[in-house]
Amino acid sequence: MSAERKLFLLLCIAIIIMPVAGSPAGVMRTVTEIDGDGTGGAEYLVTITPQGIAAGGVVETMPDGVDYTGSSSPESHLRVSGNMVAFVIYESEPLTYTVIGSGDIPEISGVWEDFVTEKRGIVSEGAVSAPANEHLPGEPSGTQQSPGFGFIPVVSALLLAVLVCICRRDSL
Amino acid sequence: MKCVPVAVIVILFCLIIPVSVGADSLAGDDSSGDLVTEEYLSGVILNLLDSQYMGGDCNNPGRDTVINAAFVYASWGGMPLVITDSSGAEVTLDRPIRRAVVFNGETTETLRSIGFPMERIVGIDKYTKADTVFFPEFADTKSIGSVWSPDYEQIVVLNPDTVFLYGTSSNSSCNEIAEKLSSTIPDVRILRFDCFKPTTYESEITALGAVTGRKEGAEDFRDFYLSVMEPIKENLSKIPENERVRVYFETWVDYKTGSAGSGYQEKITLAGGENIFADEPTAYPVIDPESVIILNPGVIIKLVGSESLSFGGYNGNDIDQMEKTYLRLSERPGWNSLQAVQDDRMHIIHNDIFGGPEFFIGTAYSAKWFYPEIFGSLNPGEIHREYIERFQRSDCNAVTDGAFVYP
Repeated sequence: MSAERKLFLLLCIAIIIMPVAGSPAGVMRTVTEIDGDGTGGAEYLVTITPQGIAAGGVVETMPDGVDYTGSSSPESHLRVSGNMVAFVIYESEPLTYTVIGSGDIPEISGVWEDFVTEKRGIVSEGAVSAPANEHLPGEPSGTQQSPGFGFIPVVSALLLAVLVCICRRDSL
Repeated sequence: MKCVPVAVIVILFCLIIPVSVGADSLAGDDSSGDLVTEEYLSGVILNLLDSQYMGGDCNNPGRDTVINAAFVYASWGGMPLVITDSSGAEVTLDRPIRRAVVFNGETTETLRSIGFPMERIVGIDKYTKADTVFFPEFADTKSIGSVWSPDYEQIVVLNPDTVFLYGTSSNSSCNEIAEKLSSTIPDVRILRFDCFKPTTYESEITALGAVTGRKEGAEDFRDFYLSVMEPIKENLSKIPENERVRVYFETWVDYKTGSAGSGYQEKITLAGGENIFADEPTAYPVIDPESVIILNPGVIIKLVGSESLSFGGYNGNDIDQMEKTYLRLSERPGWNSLQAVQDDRMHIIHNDIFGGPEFFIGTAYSAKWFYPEIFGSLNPGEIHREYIERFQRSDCNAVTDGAFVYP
């Protein structure tokens, strides 16, 4: 694929996944394998896509056997502690981070908070929706489930991740 | 672990800020200085998330500090907001409104129009509390009396961070309340808006949007409001002053009207009418019945919704009562000779869409009654429905279940 075509596709996808004004707040996660090591281990790209959050945060928890390796966020916007990583979100800007693990795509869990609207919820896994009114661990009621982003944006985000993989491989 | 160096940087940053920019508290207990920077906010967000979810014990700033800082950063660009309210007072805001006491239902309604969360209103005036049809969400909210009889004890117990009072109406009472509360409740902000006067309503919508961080909601509502008022104004500008329809306006008290200086006069003029009693010496005179016959208005508007004419509006579909009022008017001695009666240009209107923040709906009805040939396509009923559904977040039953105009 030519560089122009890749750029055009990325642009189209970026427009599609742009948050819709007035949409409810939420955060979606997509996980894509970017590099297998041939021995069962792999590196994964995790894309966090917030929507409708002007100033907030996300805390991601890695399962056993999965390690955080780096992020597109600046150092001042993230904190790592054990198997957890906290990110600061501004103006619903998407962020990515990478993890290494073995076996299947890691089942990462996460929570988000919007400190302007004082809403919080669980990071939704792509198009997979979790039960409504689920409470966060150790939190009182009042949390809300991330609404999910619908079919087209989810597919677009996955395509974006795949394109990033292709671009990386091409550049090697 | 990256936590240690990042935490050290954040803590050092927090220690440095008060020295460099002063000690005035801005957004929260630990947010010092006159600016919430992205670096500061990132630091307190990470500290809170660390303490809340990651088992960290490093310098938890407290949720309120983070929420206040996030609001100031996102809504006011990190700076304190300085605003001049309708009383002319300059008020500096350094944190969001999270516990409001509102003394005037007009401001409560306008806050609802711009999308301010009603659960942040912890105290309301007794009239709003009693209006369970239009304000059902305040059934369990404490009443703080009225501007004429405030319940100071209750207000202090509610511990508001902001108190809303009339901007210019009931001025001496509001001045006294503002003074007493300012000296009783530390750091309380007093904001004064009328929210029922056509000359200031647009700017008050914008100001409320700014102080509440609901800029987009305020813009949406202001655009809607202007979409009603601007075409009326534009069309009326083509009608020469000496060709304006001559109007007799009567309140719910027989032969009591409004003259120059009254809100009624302003609204008649806004709709393009010429008030036949504009030159009376007092703002709300009771006029001689004979003078109505002599001045022979082209349109008559009778206001209902209070005292002996307390029916209709949002509280009931009392069209039959409106019809009776209409018939009683037309049977007044000598009125069968009036041009307005002969031409069937006499109308009843409820104060719910004439006196408060919904005056623009009443203005639309009035303009259509005054100039049916110009405003034939104007649909005040539809404007009313959209206002209720889109901005009051209610269903249109509030309109269909009520009685607002006749015929």
